[in-house]
Amino acid sequence: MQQPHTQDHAAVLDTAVPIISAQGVDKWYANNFHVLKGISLEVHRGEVVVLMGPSGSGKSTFIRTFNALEAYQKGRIIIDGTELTPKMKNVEAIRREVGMVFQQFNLFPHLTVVENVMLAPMEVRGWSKSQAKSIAGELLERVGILNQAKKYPGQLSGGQQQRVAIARALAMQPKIMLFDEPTSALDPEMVREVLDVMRNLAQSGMTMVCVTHEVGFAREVADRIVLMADGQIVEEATPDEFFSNPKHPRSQQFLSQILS
Amino acid sequence: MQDFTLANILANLLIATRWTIALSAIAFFGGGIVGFIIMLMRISPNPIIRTISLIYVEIFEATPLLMQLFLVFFGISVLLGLNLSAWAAATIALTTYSSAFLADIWRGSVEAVPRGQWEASRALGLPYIKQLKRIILPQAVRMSIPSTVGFAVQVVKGTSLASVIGFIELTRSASSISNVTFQPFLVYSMAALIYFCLCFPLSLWSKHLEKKFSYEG
Amino acid sequence: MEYTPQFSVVWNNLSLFWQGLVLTLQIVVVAISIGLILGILGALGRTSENRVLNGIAIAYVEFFRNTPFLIQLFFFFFGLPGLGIRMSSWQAAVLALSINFGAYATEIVRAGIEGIDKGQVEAGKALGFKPMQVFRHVVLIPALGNIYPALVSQVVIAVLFSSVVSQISAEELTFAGNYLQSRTFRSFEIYLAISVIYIGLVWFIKLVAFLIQRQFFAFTRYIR
Repeated sequence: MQQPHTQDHAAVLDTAVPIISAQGVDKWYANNFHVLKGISLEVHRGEVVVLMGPSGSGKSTFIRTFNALEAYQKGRIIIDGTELTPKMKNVEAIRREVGMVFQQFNLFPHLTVVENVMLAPMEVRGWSKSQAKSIAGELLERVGILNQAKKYPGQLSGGQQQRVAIARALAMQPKIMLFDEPTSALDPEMVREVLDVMRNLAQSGMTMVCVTHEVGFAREVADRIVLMADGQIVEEATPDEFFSNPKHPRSQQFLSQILS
Repeated sequence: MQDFTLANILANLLIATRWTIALSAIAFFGGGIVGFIIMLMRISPNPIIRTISLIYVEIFEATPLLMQLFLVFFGISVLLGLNLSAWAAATIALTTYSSAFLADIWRGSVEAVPRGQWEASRALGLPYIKQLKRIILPQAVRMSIPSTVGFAVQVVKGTSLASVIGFIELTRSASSISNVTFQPFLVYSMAALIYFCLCFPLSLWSKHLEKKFSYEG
Repeated sequence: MEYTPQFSVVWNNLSLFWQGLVLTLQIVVVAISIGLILGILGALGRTSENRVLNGIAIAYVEFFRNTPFLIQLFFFFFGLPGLGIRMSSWQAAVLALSINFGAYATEIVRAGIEGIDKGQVEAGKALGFKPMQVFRHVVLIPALGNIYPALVSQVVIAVLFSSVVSQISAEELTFAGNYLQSRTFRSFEIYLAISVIYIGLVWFIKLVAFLIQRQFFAFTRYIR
């Protein structure tokens, strides 16, 4: 099996090779609930894929398998040429390359905003403090929160915290960004500031997989919409097709619920 | 001199346990009455009354119970020329001790009632006493029950210190019996077991109430 | 008939009180250090999947929290020699205080472990931290911050409990007071002075605890 992790090696790979490849993934919870039923999905470099679907459809669980926060029992998941297996030794090497933004932000409460962003580059990438600081400064500026850098997360609004969380993930210079319902825990007036940051990120060419119900964002930014229901993918389409002419009855049902 | 069999020792310890229970009950309920007044002072709008009650609580929470017993038993009796019995001294000391801790527990519960409840009852035009009696206290009492029951365990354990000033309860009786029988291991184990049988059900009950109330929200 | 307090007995014996205070501090510091280790071990047992370890930890905690400290002390000092385990009053005092502190610390540390935010652990993993790095950078400080207030209260209680060890003639502050009382019969003045010393000590501990909190756990103010 090929295991290229280095940049050089990745660069010589055919661009047609997907950066995320899930093949027939099955997952059961401990209580035997069959949450993922043989799902396959490919995501290419620079692509923005939006996963939609009713709650309980398994979309969060699915993207959490991409950085091995969730184990799976059958099928294969290959991230940037490396297969995720239950026994793999260096799962951290994959996670370094895959950034994740959580619904509940999950900032570290005991560190200031800038320390939150600096910690992983220093500890995981081994960067110097000054290096980490300058990257953190750039990123915080990019997400519009540099003036709050010295505050603790608990002093910020939800929208601000989520923008810091995005900066924290980006500081590791990941190849892929996963967004797990990033705006679901936010008050309505804060959703937009987070979506703006995500939109800019997509325009910069980042590979993104987003679980979200934000139709406007999906329509405008996504290259592809994937609709999941009951642990399966029921439809994959471009945003135009999906929103104007959904083919599967589950998609039609889902859209009628969220658009009403 | 009677011969001490196991059953004999147990019987003697259980007789003394009555005094542990009596002292605990008096201290807990007496402390409850005094503590309620102190709690009312702690939440009073008047800053002087608040400060006085704060100092009261702080002093009792920052001195050993043993010292409080000594001060009452030796100190006060010398100072006032009263010949306090060990029973009276233990009752006074444990009651005041309980009152301070109960006042603090209850104050915490009153403060945990959301401010909006005060505001809403004020907006309805209720006078202070009625706000307290009809709106705030009923909610605070509910919240405070688990920790109040939990504190009862501290009181029962605290009564063992009354043995030091000569009040004959379970611990004192255990000391005497062990001196006579030369079986301290056995006697203190049994005494510990009796205390455990008094305290553990209270602890379980307190934990149960806490769970129950936290589910009910 | 009228009793006039004479505090000269206090002023003339300040060095005795000072010695007592130092001995109290020694006992408490040693006992808390051992007790904390017991508490961490107990909490590991309490949160472990292993039923035997869990059972042992529960029995330890419940037994020592539901019996009086004085009885525990007497048991160690008078009872254990019956099994051939002899120790000095100082050793028995430290042992009893450690084990008692450990039982309460077990519950405090356990609450800290259970209060750890799983989301933050996941965030650490997602950033590529190894398990030890997750523990060090993500888990440890917030957990310490969470349990810190309860731990400080327990330290104060240990200081107050330490007065009880005077009852097996372990030398410390209260013992010094009893000794002086038996020679001068100035019980009111002496016990009042000792109470004041305990209050001073407790407030000093609270002050230091507050300063440490402000320095290292300032973030806890912003956690909702």
